Amino acid sequence: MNNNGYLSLSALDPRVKLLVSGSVLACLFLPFIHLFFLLVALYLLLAAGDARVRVHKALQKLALPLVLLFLIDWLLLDFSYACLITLRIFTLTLAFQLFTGFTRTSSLFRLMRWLYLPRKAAFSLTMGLQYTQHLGREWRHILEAQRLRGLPPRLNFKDPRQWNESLRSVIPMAVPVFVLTVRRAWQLSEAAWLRGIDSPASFEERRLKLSGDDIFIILSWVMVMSVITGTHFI
Amino acid sequence: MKKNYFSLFDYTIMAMVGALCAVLKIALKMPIKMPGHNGVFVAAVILVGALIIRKKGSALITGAFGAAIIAFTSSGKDGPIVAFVAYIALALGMEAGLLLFRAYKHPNIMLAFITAALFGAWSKLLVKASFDIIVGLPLAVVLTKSGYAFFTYSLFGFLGGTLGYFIVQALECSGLNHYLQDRK
Repeated sequence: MNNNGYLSLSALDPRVKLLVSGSVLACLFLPFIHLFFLLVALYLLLAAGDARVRVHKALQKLALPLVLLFLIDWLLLDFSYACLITLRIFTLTLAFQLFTGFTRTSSLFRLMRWLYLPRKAAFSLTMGLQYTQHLGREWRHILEAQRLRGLPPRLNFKDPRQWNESLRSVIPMAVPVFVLTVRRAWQLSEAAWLRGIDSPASFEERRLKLSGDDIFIILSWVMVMSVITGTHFI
Repeated sequence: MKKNYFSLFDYTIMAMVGALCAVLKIALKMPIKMPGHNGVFVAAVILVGALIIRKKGSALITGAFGAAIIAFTSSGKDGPIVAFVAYIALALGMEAGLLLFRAYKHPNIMLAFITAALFGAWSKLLVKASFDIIVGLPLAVVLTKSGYAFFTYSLFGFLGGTLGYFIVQALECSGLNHYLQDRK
C-alpha cells in the first residue's frame, strides 16, 4: 500500500503482473458473461492501484479501431458476436497494460535475470528503456539543427515521383542520430565495464521476492479465476 | 554460438538502436493513414543496427529489444502484446532476409536490404492476421484487411529497405566503421 491508501501497482512483483496478464490471455476464449466478469475483476485491480486515469488514457487510442471493428462485426455477423470480439480485444489490452504500464525498469531487470537472460542483455535492454526519452530529446535537437541548416525532412509518400527525394531527405537526420547513438552506447558500455557488468565472476544481485501484497494479489486472483472458469466448466 | 558471441558493447548498441525504433515510431508520424507505414523507419533502423554490429543474429536481437521497448513505451492501437509479437516477427523476417543474401559479409547489395525489409513486413502482417483470426474476426474481414495491407506493407517494406541501404552507405562514408573498429 502507498501513502494514499492505494495498492502500489509499480511496487508489485513483476511475476504477479505477468501471472495476471498471462491468465487473462489463457482465458480469452471464455463466453461473454465470464469474460465480462474477468474484465470487471481486472478493472477493480487497476482501480485499487489508482491507475484508472492512466489506463483510460492508454485505452483512448484503442477506442476508434474497436468501434470500427464492432460495427463491421455487427453488420457482417450479429450483435452478440461483435460484443464478444470487442470485449476480447479490450480485455487483452487492459491485461497487458497492467504489466507494461506498471513495471519499473529495475523490476524488469530482475525479472529478466529470473528468466535466465544473460546479464549483459538484461542490463542493455533496461538501459535502452531508460534512454528512450533522452534519445527522443536528442532526435529533436538534431531535427532543429538540420532545419536551421535548411535540411528539413520532406516526407511525401503520396506521390511516387517524390519517394526518392523523401527517402534522401531523411539521411541528413539519420546519420548524426546513428553516430550519436553509437557514441552514447560506447560511453554507457564503458561505464558498465567499470562497474563489472561484463565480469565473468558472479556477484550478488538483488533478486525478486514476494511481499505480503504480492501473495494477497496472487491468492485473490487465483480465487477469482477459479470462480470464473469453474462456473464455465461445471 | 559461442558464449560471448555478442560483447557488452554490441548489446548496448542493439538496445540503443531498439530504443531509436520506439523514438522514431512516435516522432516520425507520416500524414498518411495506411497500414504498415511505420515499417519504413522501423525496418530501416533495425537494418542499420544489424549492419553496424555485422554479426549473425544481430537483426533479430535488435528487433527483439525494439519490440520490448515499443511494447513498454507506445503500445499502439493493437495493444502491447500484439505490438511485441509483431515486431519480433518483423525482426525474424529481416534476419532471414539478411542471412539469405549473406548481407553481414557483403553489406553493399541493395537487393538484400529490400528483401530483408519485405520479409520483415510480410512476417509482421502474418502475425497481425493470425491475431485477428485467433481473436475470432470473420475470415472474410481478415482476408479483405490483409489483402489491402499486403500491398501497403510491401510498398513500405520496399521503401524501408531502400532507406536502410542509403543510411548504411552514408554511415560508411562518415567513417563510423573506423570508429567501431577501434573499439571492438
